[in-house]
Amino acid sequence: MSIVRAGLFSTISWLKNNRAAMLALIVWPYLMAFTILFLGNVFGNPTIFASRMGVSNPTLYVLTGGSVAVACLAIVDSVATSILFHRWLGTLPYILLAPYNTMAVLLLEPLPTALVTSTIPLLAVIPVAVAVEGLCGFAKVLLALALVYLAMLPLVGFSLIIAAVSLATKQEHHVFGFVTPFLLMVSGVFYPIDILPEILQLVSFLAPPRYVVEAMRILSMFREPSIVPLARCILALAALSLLYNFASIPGVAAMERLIKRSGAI
Amino acid sequence: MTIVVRNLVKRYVTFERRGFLRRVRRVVEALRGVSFEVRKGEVFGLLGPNGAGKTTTVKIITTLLLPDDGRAWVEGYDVVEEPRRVREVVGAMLSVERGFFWKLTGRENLLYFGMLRGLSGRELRKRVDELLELVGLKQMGAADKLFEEYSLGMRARLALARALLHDPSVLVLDEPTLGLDPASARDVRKLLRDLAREGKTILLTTHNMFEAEIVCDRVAIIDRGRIVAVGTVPELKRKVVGKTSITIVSTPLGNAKSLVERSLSSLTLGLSIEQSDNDARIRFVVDPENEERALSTAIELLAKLGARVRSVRVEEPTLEDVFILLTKRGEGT
Repeated sequence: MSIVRAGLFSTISWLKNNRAAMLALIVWPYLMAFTILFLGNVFGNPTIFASRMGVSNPTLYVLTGGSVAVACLAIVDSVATSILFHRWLGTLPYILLAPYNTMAVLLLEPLPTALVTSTIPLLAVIPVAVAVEGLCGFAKVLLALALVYLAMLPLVGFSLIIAAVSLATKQEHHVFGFVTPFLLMVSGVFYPIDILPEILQLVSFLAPPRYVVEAMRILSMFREPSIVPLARCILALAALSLLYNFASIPGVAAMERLIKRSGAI
Repeated sequence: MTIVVRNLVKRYVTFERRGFLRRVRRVVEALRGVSFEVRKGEVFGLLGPNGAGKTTTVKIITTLLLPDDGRAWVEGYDVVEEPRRVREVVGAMLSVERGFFWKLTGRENLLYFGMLRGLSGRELRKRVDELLELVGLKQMGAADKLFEEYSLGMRARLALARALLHDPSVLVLDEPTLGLDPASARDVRKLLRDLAREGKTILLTTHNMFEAEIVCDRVAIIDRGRIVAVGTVPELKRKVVGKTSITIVSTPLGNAKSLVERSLSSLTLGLSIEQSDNDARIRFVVDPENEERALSTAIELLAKLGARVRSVRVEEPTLEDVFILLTKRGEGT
């Protein structure tokens, strides 16, 4: 608990002292939505986009879907880059000197950052959601937030595996430079997954953001959300949580051994 | 004994790039059987040139690195078998410049690391306040400044405060005054002496002879991964009793440095040549019977090389000469 508290304290203090970062988190989904909607209106047709994506309100969908994608990437970024971030700052040795199980420290310390940086972009779209759809829009954003928290379960394990791979290969920049856009691509947030090549469609089944975006689409499409497809998304997220978190245990243990054997601190 | 180190061995594997694809595996032996003991309440200095193995030893003792062989205990806890116990009794300062969140204030940084140590609430805030006062950051008005605005001296003070957060019985400090201005370095040394008087056991690494002489109760000289001598400063100085230390300062030697080294090494017991952009400092230890010959050879050689001698000093040997004598070199002094 004290590890989580410490992580939360540093995140809140960082945002308090660094208002530009806070503003960036708030503005980010709007900028993303504006870009997509602008390009969509110039080069395409919003009605075709809405029918192809199966959404009732393309503006609200792009805004909330975009912030869901941003939130998922924020989780991956917070957890996967945490070790690297601490290594660059020089704080890693002192974090590892906390008198707890190293794996628990590596796992729990970045969680509050992931939580805060994924929550802010979604809360930021509430005013627009309320303006467009009233209380229903507000409820949709809250549901999206709940979905993002659910997606956190598989994404934490997934991010730890990514962190272990990047540390083992010593190719941090290349690994993250590949993973983040790849996750965005296979999430299906800005175009249907059906238009991707078959192999990418298969890979997308392993990407947690896909199910969050899918659930978002279901919420955006129906005035009354359909329970069965939504439950399917939630089940998929639960299954991925088990898969990634179990797989991450040996990954993190190997990472710890690697750090302590090679002197990578 | 508070810290016991027995035959520590550590090898690093590095890969040297040869051409576009080929990489050659190289094994670097950082520690080759390091052993020493630190008594309760003493300030023990690990003195050695760059790359001697000081930081590797410190990292193993603080549980941050696993040894390939050998064992170490802190307050009776094995650093490999009981790392969590060791972390509870050790406070570490591994770098002066880095290791804090730049966008957090000094106080916020300490609160964060305190929470990581399991402290909380009023107890933590009180402890942080006490430490900010102890290291002088409160008096300097820097406690609530962002870390990025700190000078190097302030950073060193904050690093020391962090090491003391959980009131550890053992402090392990890696080059605690490295890069500090003389006034800040003096303040840090005074703090260390005060902490030792309060009963803390302190292991510090340094390559600063002056620091070792005035702060440490005992010193171990480490060179190329081996301990070459252990003792109090007077005990170590006895190794050079009856010998003479000569320091010649001249204009820079450039590439002729190795020639001077080769020419003088047979006449001296230990030799160190340091060069900067402005001058060269040649320091060597000789037996009295070789004093005149070594000095005249050195001056003749420098004249032949076109280097102008700026000063010559003949004196009683110091700890630096013990270091030169034992390590046969004097980098970083």
